[in-house]
Amino acid sequence: MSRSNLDIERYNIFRAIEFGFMLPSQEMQTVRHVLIDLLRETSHFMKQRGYWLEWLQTLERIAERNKVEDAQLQCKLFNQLGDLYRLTQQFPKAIKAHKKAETLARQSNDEVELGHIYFYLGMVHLRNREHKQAEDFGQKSLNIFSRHKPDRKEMAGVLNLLGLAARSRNDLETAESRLRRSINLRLRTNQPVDLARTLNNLAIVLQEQEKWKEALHYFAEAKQTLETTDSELDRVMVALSEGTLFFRMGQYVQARETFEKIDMPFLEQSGHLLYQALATNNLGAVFISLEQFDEAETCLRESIEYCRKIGDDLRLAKTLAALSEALTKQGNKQAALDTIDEANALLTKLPAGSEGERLYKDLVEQKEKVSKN
Amino acid sequence: MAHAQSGKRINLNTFGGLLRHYRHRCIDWERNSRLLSQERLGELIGQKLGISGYSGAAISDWERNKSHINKDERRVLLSLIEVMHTGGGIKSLDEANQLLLAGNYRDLNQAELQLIDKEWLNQKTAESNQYSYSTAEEQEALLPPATYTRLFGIEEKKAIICQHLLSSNPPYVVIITGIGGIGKSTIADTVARQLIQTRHFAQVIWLSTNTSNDQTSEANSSSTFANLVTKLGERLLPNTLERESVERQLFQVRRELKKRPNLIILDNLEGDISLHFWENLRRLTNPSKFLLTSRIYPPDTSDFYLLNLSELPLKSSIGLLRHQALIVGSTELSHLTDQNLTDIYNIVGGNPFALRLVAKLAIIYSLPQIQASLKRGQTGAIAQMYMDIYHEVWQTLQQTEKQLLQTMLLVGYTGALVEQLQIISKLDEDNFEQALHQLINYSLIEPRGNIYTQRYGIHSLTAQYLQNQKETSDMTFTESNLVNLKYWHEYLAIDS
Repeated sequence: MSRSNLDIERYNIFRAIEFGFMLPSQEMQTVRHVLIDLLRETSHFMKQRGYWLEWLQTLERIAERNKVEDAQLQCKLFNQLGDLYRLTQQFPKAIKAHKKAETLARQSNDEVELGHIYFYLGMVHLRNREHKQAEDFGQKSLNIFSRHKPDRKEMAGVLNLLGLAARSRNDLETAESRLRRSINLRLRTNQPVDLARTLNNLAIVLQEQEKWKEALHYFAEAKQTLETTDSELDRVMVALSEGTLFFRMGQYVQARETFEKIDMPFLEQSGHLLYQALATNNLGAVFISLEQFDEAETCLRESIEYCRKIGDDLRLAKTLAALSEALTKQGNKQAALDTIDEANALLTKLPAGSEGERLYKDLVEQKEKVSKN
Repeated sequence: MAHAQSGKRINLNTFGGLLRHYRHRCIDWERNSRLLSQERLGELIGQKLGISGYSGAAISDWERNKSHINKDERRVLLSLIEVMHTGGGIKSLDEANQLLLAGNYRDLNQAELQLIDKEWLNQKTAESNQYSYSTAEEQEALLPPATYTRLFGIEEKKAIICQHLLSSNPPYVVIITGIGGIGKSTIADTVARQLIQTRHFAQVIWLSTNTSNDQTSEANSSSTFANLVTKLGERLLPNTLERESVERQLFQVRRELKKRPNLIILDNLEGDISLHFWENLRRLTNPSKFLLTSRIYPPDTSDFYLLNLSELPLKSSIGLLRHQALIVGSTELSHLTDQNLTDIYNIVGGNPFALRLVAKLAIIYSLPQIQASLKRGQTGAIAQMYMDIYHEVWQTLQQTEKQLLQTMLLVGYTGALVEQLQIISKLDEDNFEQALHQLINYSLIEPRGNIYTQRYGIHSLTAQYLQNQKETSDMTFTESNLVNLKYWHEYLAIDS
């Protein structure tokens, strides 16, 4: 049978899994492997197609009602739930769900499952800019997978996580090396979406090292790899990264074209607030460079709304800073000053020595300039 | 209607039957003969037209409905009527028009009356002076009181129905189907009120029908149709048909409906309505139109427009809940967040009847109490609601139909393909098809796909009712549940 109709069939699959978890224990035992497979495959598909919110609500309902005594099944359920919380920026909930899974895995002495849980936890911390914890959980996961008949796919996943953790502490050489190792493993598995993600990550690290040509080469490879998949979200991800590269190279028209190709209605349906915030912010920044300030203001204001929903103060402050620039260029001095004040109020809440502190200093200078003009 | 004549039965509902009936009453006044033969009738028509005339065989074909007079050959028709009127076969204007009606020809107009019989013209003028249409206000006053104060989510459907009813082309019958409480009568009511104001129809007549199930299908249909004719007669021709036979009433009513466009609304057409009813109904249409509401899909009605009402979407349901809460004074409910109201929607779906009931109950009970009660469906007004909507039809379902309906709990709101349903219901092909067909007829399962891929689903409220009906230890359902999991496992081609 084909997977081509999965978009419309997803509600039937949700129902099947929901009612599957309600089966009497005896019958449940006969289909537990079926349920575990369905949970995994459905999660994979829903994440690719951006149906996170619907899938999350279904899993929450199952978890709330769940009276299943099968620890392994429960563990899988909580891990999937945690991963969806991470994707929807609900980090405390994500950690809580993975911790529940950890308790269940320890009870049943399932070390391989613990390796998975540490990987998930590393991803949550990475996304929450907790770089040290991300590295620690990544290493714990790597140790377990190395001991237990290393699986290429799992090892590749952990190396990708560790590469990103290295990048986040600006250790770009280590990041590049880890990501290249991950790609080598991924090339030997049939996981095009995962391969494309790591290619995209490597291209970003190369871009940060100003290896523009190489970066463009890996973005092109990532796009080509995605051509055979139906993962729209990953296509958005590559477009965001590639557009940023064009921007940094000063190729603003190409940057604008790349960002404008992003399927915004799809992103809205997926509920992926971060990508919506990034797409609109990046386009706003390009418009400033193209001196189209009205368009820039519209995009940046939209991005600000997404940032507010996410609750990410640093990202919000950055976008407010960009908006103040657009307002200044439009001659709207007072509005620009108010915007800088709002951004600075957010930045003062962030820890010392962080990226937020540097931005704060920049904004204080910017405010002085605007006031003088 | 049939007459015994010379040992043969004549069908007086057809043009040919009536023609023969009238000819048998005719004398040949020129030859002083008590019988007007087919040959002679053809000859006399020819004389009137100034041509050589028609053969006896041609007249015979008309009488056996083997051939008919073309509508464009109006002069032939007029000559035929004139000859038969002179010979005493057609005694009145009514009889002349009855013959025309049976052949789907229009009534005689004033010029034609003048030509055939001036007395008929005077009679018609007197009738017209006697007749006066009801005003819009009078017609509206005869509608049942509206049960709503504001409408939610039905504008598009209402527009479609009005468009079909206002068109002078087919469809002449529009049928709104759907489960109880879904808003069929509400749409019909609002359509009626709007169309009364347009003055497009001579009259907009609302008839509530009640049929009982204790009669056989044929008898039931006949009596339903006879009741319809009587009720229509009372409204279209007040005080004139009281002592008339059903056949006579039918003729007059049909004539009235054919004469000018009327809109007849038959609300709540229930019970086992056979093909016979629909055939008879069809004869009353054009230019008049019919709007019907029913829980049951009609049988073979390829020339009718069917509109199956689905649940209201979330936004409209929330709007209705808030509005209704304000109307009944349940202010706390009206101020609940969209998320809280969505929780209610997730249980009852977009069934307006159920949503209104929730608003009413919120005055007395807490929201968690109402939600729990909706899920259990065992007590008070909520149990009564389930009873009103589902109980009667549930009792009439066969075991296989119940089995398939229970299976629908495993189906999401976009509906399932036939292939999935048949596999998970565990019914053989014949039983499955029969059960599916019947459940669609009862509006318990609704088609949700498109012309290329048909899918089937149930309303949220139906799912809730089924959930209440279902025994947790129900082995048949458990088996379907297991088969369903394996179905999707296979569908995703998972290599374990």
